[in-house]
Amino acid sequence: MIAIVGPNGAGKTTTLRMMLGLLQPSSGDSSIGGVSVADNPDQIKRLIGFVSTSVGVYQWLTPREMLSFVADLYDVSPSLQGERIERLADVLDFREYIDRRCGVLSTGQKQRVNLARALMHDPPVMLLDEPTRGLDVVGSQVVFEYLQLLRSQQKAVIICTHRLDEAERFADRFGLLHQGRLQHYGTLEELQSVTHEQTLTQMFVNLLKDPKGTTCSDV
Amino acid sequence: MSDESQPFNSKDSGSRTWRLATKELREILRDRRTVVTLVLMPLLVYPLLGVILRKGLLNNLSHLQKVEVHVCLETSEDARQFAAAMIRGERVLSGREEGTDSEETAEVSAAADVLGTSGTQEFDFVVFSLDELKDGSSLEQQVSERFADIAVRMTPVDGVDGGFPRRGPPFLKWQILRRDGSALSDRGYKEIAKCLDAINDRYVDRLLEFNQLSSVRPATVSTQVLSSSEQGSSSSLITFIPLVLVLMTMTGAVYPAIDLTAGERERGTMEILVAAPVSRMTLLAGKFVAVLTVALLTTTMNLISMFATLFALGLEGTVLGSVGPTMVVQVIVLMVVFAAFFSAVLLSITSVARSFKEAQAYLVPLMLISLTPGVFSLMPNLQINGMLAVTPLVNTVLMGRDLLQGNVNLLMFAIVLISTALYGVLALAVASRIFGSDAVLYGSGGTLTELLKRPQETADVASIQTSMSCLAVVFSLFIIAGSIPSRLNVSLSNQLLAAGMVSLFLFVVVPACLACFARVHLLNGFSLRLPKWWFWLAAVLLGGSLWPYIYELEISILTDARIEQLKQLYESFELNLKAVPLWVKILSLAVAPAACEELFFRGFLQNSIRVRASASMSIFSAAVLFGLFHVIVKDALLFERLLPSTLMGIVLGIVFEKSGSVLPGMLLHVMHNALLIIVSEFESELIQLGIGISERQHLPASVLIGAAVPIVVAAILLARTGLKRPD
Repeated sequence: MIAIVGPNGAGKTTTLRMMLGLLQPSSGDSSIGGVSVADNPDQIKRLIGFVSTSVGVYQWLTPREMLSFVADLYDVSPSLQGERIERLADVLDFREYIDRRCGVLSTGQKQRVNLARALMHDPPVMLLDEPTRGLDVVGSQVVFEYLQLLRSQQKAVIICTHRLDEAERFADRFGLLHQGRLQHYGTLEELQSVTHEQTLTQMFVNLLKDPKGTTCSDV
Repeated sequence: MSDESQPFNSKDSGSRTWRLATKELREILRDRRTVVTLVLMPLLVYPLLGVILRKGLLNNLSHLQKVEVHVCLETSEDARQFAAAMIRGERVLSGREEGTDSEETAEVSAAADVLGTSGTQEFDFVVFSLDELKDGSSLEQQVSERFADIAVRMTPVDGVDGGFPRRGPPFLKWQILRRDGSALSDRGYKEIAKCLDAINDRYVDRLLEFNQLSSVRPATVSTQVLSSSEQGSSSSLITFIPLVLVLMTMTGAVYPAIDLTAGERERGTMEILVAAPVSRMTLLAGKFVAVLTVALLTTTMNLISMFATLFALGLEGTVLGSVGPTMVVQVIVLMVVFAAFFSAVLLSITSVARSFKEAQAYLVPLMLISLTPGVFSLMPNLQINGMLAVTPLVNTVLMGRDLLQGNVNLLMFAIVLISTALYGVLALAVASRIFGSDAVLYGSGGTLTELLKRPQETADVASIQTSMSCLAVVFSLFIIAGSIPSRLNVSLSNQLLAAGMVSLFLFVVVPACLACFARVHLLNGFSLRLPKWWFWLAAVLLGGSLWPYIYELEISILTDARIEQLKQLYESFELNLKAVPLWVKILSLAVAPAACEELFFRGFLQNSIRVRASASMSIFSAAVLFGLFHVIVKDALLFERLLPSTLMGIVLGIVFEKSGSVLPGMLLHVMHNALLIIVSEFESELIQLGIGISERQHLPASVLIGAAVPIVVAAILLARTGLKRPD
């Protein structure tokens, strides 16, 4: 589980979009299991689940309909669709309003549907873009549980956030992004030894003071 | 861990598109705003319009809300008799107590003399007679040319004692002439018949009172129905109908189009779509099907509501010509094609927008522009021509008007359908470039100019979007420019050479310009490369030996009647081909068109289709397009050319597919055309040998068998390489 942290405008979201093949990188490439984004954008998209708070839900569809629509997009067979929707409804606890239309759901409820949506095609890699932005304590808790779930399913997770406390709590490795460049990358211990700072927050503050710090390798 | 399903292929993309479309439809149809435009609008608009129409149409001249019917008779004496009879009939019908016969007759005559018009409760009969007109026209002409709604020819009944009963109505034979398909004429006739019946009945009653019966009635009625001489001016109101239909179709499609593109982006659901492994074209196709479905539902609702209103108000005969199943089918086809076209245009524009508001800002000017064709449709004497038939929107409105008037030119109908469909394809191609692209998703630029941006990278083969856009442009220009040479005031030789130049412009210059714009490599994009030597040989063999079979096919399709028709058609062109030197004919009718058409249909189109489709599919579709272009000749549709041209296109397509080069096909095509021209050049000599198209004589079997040998050899040569292409 990797956390990409950085101030607003550092390029976190852009990085994720390039990984997903939505944006053309000006140089470089990323690959999952040997599949390159530039060469096989469609295959990459099958391997990635994408969660973002900016992603909406269809106002006039019910969560069930929306999930099976997404499953159709990913070519999940109809028998498997039903099974997965049932399982996700239990795990993410949205069975209660699964047949109500999304337009009337609360923000937290929509977020659950959205989280389930990213798992419909059971991807090995998850990209999360600020998943707790705009959520209250209960909402954030749902996301934390979701992260636990992903960890238990042994998925590779890349999470973008500017909430350093969250990042420290979950991630195994960190990438500090600033002004479109990856400044530091490694486990907390490695980062501590490089920067001689104890917490991510402190490293972050230093980074902002000295933007031309040592540059590490690309992801 | 990854998904177990296979990457989708083109086979299931159809069902996938449909599944996507059902989701879109579900979303749209649950929205109440859609239902309002879809159902309530037509249900309210047409009855309202209908009431206004009725007022405007039937009561425009009369304060008393009476319908005016113009009646023509032969002499003014007849006119007086008619007026008198109507007044008499009206009296009987209204059950008014009469005075004595003499008083009545005097009163009736006075009324008829003074007014010149007579009337019943519902109708005013405006009576005029031929002897007043003094233009030598007949009653029949007056009716069929719409000067009169009804004409009456009165002849005295022979063999009846005219003075019996002494002072009763005169005995006359009434021949009533009315016009087919005119509601006014029909209703006027019914009213007259009612009055005459009343007079007859009362006469019988009188006789019964006197115990005197005669076998003859005062008015013997016979009718004759005349057809209208000038179709097309049945009512100026008809011009509103296509306009209203077109506008309503637009309204139906606007909201879903915005909702499914800009709306999707605004709600943040677009990222779900672009993050999924589905091509933009498939996503767009799903949305297109959904928008089209809603547009068609709106149109259907409108049509139903409109016709229901017309029939309920009894206006169908007045407003429409005669309504037949063919007309209904044609109107439906026209509206489906138009709805598809407009849905595609809407999608291409709304795809650029990032929000509902932005989309609306783009669409308002579009809607305003769309209103201008209304002006065209309101000009009653504006005839649809090649130029108008390929002008989007105007063509649909004008064709709709002609269809409803039952006055349709099939050639123009075909051109309108094909050009509108191609414009739809063009709009979809544009939309697919921009829909869900990063410029619109994340960029700040993303405005309408994105639609026309040149691609960054060069390509070897034109994309299917580019080639289909090109096809749309070429088709329109083909219709417009195709008639230019014959309108030039120069000799036939020069006209033919001009036609050759037009071919060059249409099939080479225009595609080449578009290909340059799309950064397509010109040599590869048009498959200009040297083939292996045996393809030249195969081309020569086929070029020299196919013509007898194409000839046989053509004469077996043609019927005698059709040949006669074609002869007249060619005579009307006033072509004196005999006077043109052979080399001009070969250059302008064989070399130029063949070479240019090969470059476009095979080198460019088939090449581009082949990227996305199988070999047989690309050969077949390019061949059908090739055949369709050959059907439209000047001002006529020569359907018998479709099959031979398409078959020829298939042969040329196979040669192209196998050789990967456009050059052998060119040679084949040039040879084939040139041979046919040479055959017709020496037709008089050949007729002596028993060959001739005008005589529809078959070629000798020896020629056919002889021609089969090179074809077989060529087939073997072509099969030699298998289905391999250089790229």
